[in-house]
Amino acid sequence: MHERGILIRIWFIALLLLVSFCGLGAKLCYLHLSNHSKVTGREYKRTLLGLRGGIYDCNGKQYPMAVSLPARLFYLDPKSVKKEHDVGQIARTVSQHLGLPEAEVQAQFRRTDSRYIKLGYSLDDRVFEALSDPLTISGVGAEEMVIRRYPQGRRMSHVLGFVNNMGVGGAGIEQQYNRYLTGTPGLIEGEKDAGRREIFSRRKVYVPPIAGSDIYLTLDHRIQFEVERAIQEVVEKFDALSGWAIVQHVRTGKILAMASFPDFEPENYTETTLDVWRNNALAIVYEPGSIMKAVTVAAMLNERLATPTTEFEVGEGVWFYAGKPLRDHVYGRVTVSTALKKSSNIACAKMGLRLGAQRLENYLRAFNFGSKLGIELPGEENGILARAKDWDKLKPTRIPIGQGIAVTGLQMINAYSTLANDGRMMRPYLVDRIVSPSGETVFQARPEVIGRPVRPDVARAVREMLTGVTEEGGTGKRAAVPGFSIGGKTGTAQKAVPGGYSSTDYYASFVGFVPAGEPVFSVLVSVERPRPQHTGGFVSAPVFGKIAAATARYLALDPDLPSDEEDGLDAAQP
Amino acid sequence: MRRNRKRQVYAKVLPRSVAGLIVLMVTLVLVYWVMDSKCAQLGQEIRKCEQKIQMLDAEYAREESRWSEKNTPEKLEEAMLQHGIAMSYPVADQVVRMDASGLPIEGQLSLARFKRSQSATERVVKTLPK
Repeated sequence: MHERGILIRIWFIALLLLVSFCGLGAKLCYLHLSNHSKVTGREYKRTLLGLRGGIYDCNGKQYPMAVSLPARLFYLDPKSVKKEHDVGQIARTVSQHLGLPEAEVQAQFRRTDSRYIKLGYSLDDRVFEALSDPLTISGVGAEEMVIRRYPQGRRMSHVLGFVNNMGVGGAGIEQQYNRYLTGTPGLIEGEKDAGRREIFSRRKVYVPPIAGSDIYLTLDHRIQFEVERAIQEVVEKFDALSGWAIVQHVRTGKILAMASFPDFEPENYTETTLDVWRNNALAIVYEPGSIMKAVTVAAMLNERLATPTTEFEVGEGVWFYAGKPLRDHVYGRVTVSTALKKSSNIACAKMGLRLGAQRLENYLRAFNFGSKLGIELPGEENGILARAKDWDKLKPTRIPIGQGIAVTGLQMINAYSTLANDGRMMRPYLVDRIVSPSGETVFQARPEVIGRPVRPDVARAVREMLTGVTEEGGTGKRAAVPGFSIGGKTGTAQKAVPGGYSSTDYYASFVGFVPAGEPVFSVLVSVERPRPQHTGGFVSAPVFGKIAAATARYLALDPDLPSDEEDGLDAAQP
Repeated sequence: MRRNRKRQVYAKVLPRSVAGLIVLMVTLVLVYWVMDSKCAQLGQEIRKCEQKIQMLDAEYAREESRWSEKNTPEKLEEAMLQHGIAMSYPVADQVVRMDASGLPIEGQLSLARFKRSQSATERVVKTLPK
């Protein structure tokens, strides 16, 4: 009996234990196998930021021009400030770390209309730690965000463009290549514990974020710096409206620098106006003036209608055609070579007549005037070139001297690069390659020949004639580069206004290539409405010289002329 | 009290199978609990490592950006001026081009030496007075 009692007690305990453990087991199964998180509110969801791709210059990752950085946006919820925390102290801490005026922060705390008041962002993790201290701070929250930084400031602003507050490219490369640059966000879905931390073992979904592709440009930030500095100086010196310059590698068509002034800060693009965002190098259409004469002469030589020594009668410096006078500063009979060197209007006008309207138009279109070159930036203009059949009687005499036709700076420099490249026209480009986050090259640019408007011997002959421009008697002496021969042309064009031309506003230009014999790069400089001096020879030629000298030195080109320059080196006394 | 040596107890406490089942279940539960704790701990560590990687990546990107801001041509010129150094890019015969293996391309050094020997003067870098 006694033993039976013991047995019953043992069985009872055993049953109790069995039921307990079965119950625990059942609960465990329920917890693991059922989707109970929605019921208990332990769902965890977090979006992982996919960073936007970077933009780099031709030197690679050591010189980032645009990068995306993870940051935290801090916001205020006045209603969630705890009673035991001092609002004044919180405001002080916030203002100290985010650089905001303390009074302003205090005022935000008094607001009752919103529970999400943006304060500012910070890149620094220490700021996040300071503003997340639960012992002293409440009512301040942080959310992850990505900001776009341009470490070199205003450098290449017109080429890079900017990103708006939605993270979408709004101009330049940022806009044109938005699809490549945009990253893909990732996702984590799972459950969180009582401390609102993710329970890793309960993670259901993990999609890693994918960063955007990186873009490597052909531009060199060091050449760009020299160009931007030179353009800014000339615009400020001559109180001009704007200025632009392009440096191009003639054999490949690569753009080494492209600058436009006034410029802007891509990080604060909203502080400037729309016209400042415009890249004048390809969006301003203007009459080029005398820099067009080299194209006219090239067409004449290519058609074998003249040679460099063929003479044209210029007369007393004024010539009437179709009832309109054309003035010149050259007199008597001039050769084609001299006409280019001294920039004779009448000689070039007569060349235009000899060519004829249709042939002239054909050559201009062969040099890509009147249509886009397809550079990888938005906003490129076609230029204005009417069909020959629509020209009046005067146009064949005016277009050869750069009037009655409107071009972009890019079209002009590309035409000169064509002459420098033995008549081969290359497509201008400024994106060298695009690399995906995994390191795969998604796109690699290759130099592309897009036309051959003139024969190589013609191109060489024109180059030789253009070297005379910087010699004694030439209009571009100020463009000389110590140690290097250059070929180039000045241009001074009246600005077109409704009803005719302005008598006070001009475009002053100089375009050329270095070295003249075997050109490596070409440079165009144009200044809009310089004053009081307004000629290409006075305003733009020295800028060309400055840019070309710096570029030649940077590229370590071998001088092809003897130079007396000491280059900052002193000959010590023996 | 004297012990009854002949007394034998034939009582069955628990069948062996039931006892075994209970012990097995308890063991399973205990093992599961230990492994679950360990998994949770590892999960926490993985999560912390993920956060650390993210933080380090972000810090690296920020440092790169900060370095680039210090490395602009303007800042370099400013720094040189501050230290009284006047420098520009070298002329062509002061430049030695290297090939992929790190050796100077043939002929350059001898050309540079020849040109310098032609000028036959010592050259020193000009330093601006502070």
